Amino acid sequence: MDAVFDRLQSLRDDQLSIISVTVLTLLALTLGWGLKASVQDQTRLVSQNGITAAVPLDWVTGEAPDTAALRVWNGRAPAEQFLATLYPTNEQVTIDSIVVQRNLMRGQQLNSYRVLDKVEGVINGRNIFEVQFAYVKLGRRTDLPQVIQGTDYYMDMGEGQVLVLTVEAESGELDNLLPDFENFKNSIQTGGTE
Amino acid sequence: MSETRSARPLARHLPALSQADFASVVALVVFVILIFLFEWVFAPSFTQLTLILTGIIMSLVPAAIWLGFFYRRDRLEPEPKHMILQIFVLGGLVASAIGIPVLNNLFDVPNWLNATPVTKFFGGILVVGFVQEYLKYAAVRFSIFDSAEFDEPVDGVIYATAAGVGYATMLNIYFVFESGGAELGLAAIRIVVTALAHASFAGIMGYFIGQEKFLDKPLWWMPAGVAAAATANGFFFYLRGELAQGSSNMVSGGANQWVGLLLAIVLTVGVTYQLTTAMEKQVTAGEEV
Repeated sequence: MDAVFDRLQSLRDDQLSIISVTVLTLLALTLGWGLKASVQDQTRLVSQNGITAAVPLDWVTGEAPDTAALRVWNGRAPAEQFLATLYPTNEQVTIDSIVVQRNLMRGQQLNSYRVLDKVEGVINGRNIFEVQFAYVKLGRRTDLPQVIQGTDYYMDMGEGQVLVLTVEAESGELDNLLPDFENFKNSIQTGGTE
Repeated sequence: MSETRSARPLARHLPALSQADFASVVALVVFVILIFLFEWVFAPSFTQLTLILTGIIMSLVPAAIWLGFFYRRDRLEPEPKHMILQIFVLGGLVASAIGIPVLNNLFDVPNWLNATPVTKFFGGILVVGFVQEYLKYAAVRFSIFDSAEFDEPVDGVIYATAAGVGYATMLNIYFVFESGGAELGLAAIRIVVTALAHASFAGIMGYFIGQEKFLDKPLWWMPAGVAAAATANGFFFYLRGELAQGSSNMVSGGANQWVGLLLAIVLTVGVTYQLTTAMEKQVTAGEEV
């Protein structure tokens, strides 16, 4: 009888031990999830060439390809980047001509540049364009080439200015970036300090 | 004093385990040096495919060395080879099927862990450490633990180490695939550091699991064991990152990688010494009773 009782007690202890380890692990993971959420929600404001925007905490400011541009990229995944570029417009330079000009230039500068889709619309009486594109980034000699996907958002800001916001990432990773890009887009301020 | 539950701590495998561990450390350092010498003397050129294949073969070397030394030393009452191998494979499988997807996809660790030193430290313990050490614990607890082959406390360390080496092997294979192959010497250091570190963390957890089976321990004992292993895991990789700053990418920071290797050697020797001492004291106490 005692042996049976001891065996039952031992089984109960074993189960309690497994449960306690599992509970502790779940507790640690819950705290870890909170830490992850707090880090991923954190942004910082960066300014470059008079454009200010909120970017993820661990993103860094890169050399801007245009005098009126802000470029930030993910320190751990350099293919992931956001750009904001301001173009002056006048009677000759319109939002349509900027779209054409940028795509022509990219076609000359980037490998296998393709425009995948182009959508035109009007919001609040202002023209906008969304251009989806892709190209091949060759990288270093020993690296595999990367297919980069991206989207340009052309927005007529009025007062003779067109703002172009660009998101780029390695093919297949673009959707993961969109929440951060949405924050970036909503936080854009032009005319800030450098 | 703790009361025995069903077996006296015999530690028949204690010398075999510590000798295998120490010999493995020496052999792995020799392996790294040989790879550097080979790279320096022959300056081999690889295609992407041969580089990946070489990387995979190199990933298996720490496991082969540890298992080889353990089998050679464990002659008195050898653990069944197939059981050790099964736990090793199970360690690799839980890493591949659960550990890596949970950390990389669910917790998205690569995209936030290194944001600040604070997140790296606490995230390393709470997320990476707990996931990895719980899985190694589960690999032992839900397989060999109730088997008749698990017949003395030191078996906890042996089987947990096998799970840890399996886990590390799978992490190394993933690294080779992800990086598309890396420079041989630096890859060898990375592979050895990962193997030594995970074997050591698992050894800590295995000590607790071995005691848990044969001695009446309080309810907090096993959670404390997993927490200790998880903390060692998070702290080690935090410290390695701080000491070898800028070298998390295997392509760069070659000199700093040696610091990581030195740290892993200190960890392994320290853990092996501490565990051996603790279990020897227990054997002595058991014989005196």
